[in-house]
Amino acid sequence: MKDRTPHRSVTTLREEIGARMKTERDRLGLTQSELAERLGVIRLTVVKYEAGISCPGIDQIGTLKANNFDTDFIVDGHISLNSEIGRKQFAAILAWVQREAAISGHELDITQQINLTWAVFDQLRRSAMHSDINSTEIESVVRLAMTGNACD
Amino acid sequence: MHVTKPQPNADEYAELLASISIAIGLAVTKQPHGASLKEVLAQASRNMAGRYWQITAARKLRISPWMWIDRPWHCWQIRKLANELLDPAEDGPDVQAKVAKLGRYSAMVEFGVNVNESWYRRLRGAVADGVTTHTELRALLRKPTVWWGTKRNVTSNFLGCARELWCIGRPPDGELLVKQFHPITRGVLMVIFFASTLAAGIGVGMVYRLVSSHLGSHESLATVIDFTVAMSLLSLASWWIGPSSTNAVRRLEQIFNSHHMKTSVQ
Repeated sequence: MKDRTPHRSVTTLREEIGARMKTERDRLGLTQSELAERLGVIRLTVVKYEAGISCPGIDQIGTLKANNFDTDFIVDGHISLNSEIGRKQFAAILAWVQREAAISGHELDITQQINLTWAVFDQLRRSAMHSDINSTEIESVVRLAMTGNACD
Repeated sequence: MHVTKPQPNADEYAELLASISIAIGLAVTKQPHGASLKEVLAQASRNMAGRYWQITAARKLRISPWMWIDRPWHCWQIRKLANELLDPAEDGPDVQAKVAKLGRYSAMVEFGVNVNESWYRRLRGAVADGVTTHTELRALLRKPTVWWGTKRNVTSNFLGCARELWCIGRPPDGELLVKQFHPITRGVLMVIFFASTLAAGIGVGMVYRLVSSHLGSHESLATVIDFTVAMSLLSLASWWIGPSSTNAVRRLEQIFNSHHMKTSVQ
């Protein structure tokens, strides 16, 4: 008997990618026709992409990126630094990290500040995708990281 | 007062990374789905105000010789408790009480007020935000219009009664109260300040006149000098309790109600 589980997950993945592609198109204020023109496809193809019936190819991902689409977000759902929203969030987290470090009395160099900010940014964007994140799991992961080389 | 900046340290960085990651993780679980980044970070800040933060803040507090002279017992307690709490074997039921004490003593040494960890973080936050400096905040918190709460021991002996009297009008234990004096009190203090300043000025004029014209005896000169010094001291004291404290309340309200410190002063 054929296992349909992988097929279902691919469908879900396509739908998610399509939805994020629409989010990005809306953010950039493009119509489906305008996007189709930029991708060199007909409008129906874009409709299919956004509905999750099919997926854009690698060359089209490159074209999307060249047209200011946050392709990291489209592909894996994580807000990236390619987008203005991502950069604003990163800046807000950097300010928060600097404040917390100052309140705790830590003097971090710029690399450490950026590394910490990136860790928080990454943790937040991942948790945004999996909001049922477990704090005990995080604690155990952090402890594991600390026993290794957390600074690298 | 100054708090010197410690050098970056890989272990401390790892500790901070761990505490921040835990605080963020907890904030994500506590906040409802779809909460904004600002809300998540605000929750994470509240999560940061735990045991680790208090111990780190105490460990990193550079105690100057002046602080040792000013509050030797508190400084000694900070060092003692910080070392005790670093001991992995220290995991008894009294640890929480020790951490709370450590926070209180750190606030006392750093800012001169005996407040809880929440207020201590607010004070440090104000400095971190650049709203004020350690020196200014410490000076403002020393004014007589700033009160902090203490525990009330209900005992019938003399010391108990004295303590009860001392606690009247003070906020709950660990809280900070910044409040203007009654308008009449402020008015009286202002009058005393102006009158004593005027009297001191007249005294200086009289001394100058007596010295320059060689009039009067040494005794009368000494009496005028005594009067002038007394009036000058009275002027200084009434300025400190009166106008200076009034301005301090205004400045503290400005600091505590600033961008990052939305909670208003009581």
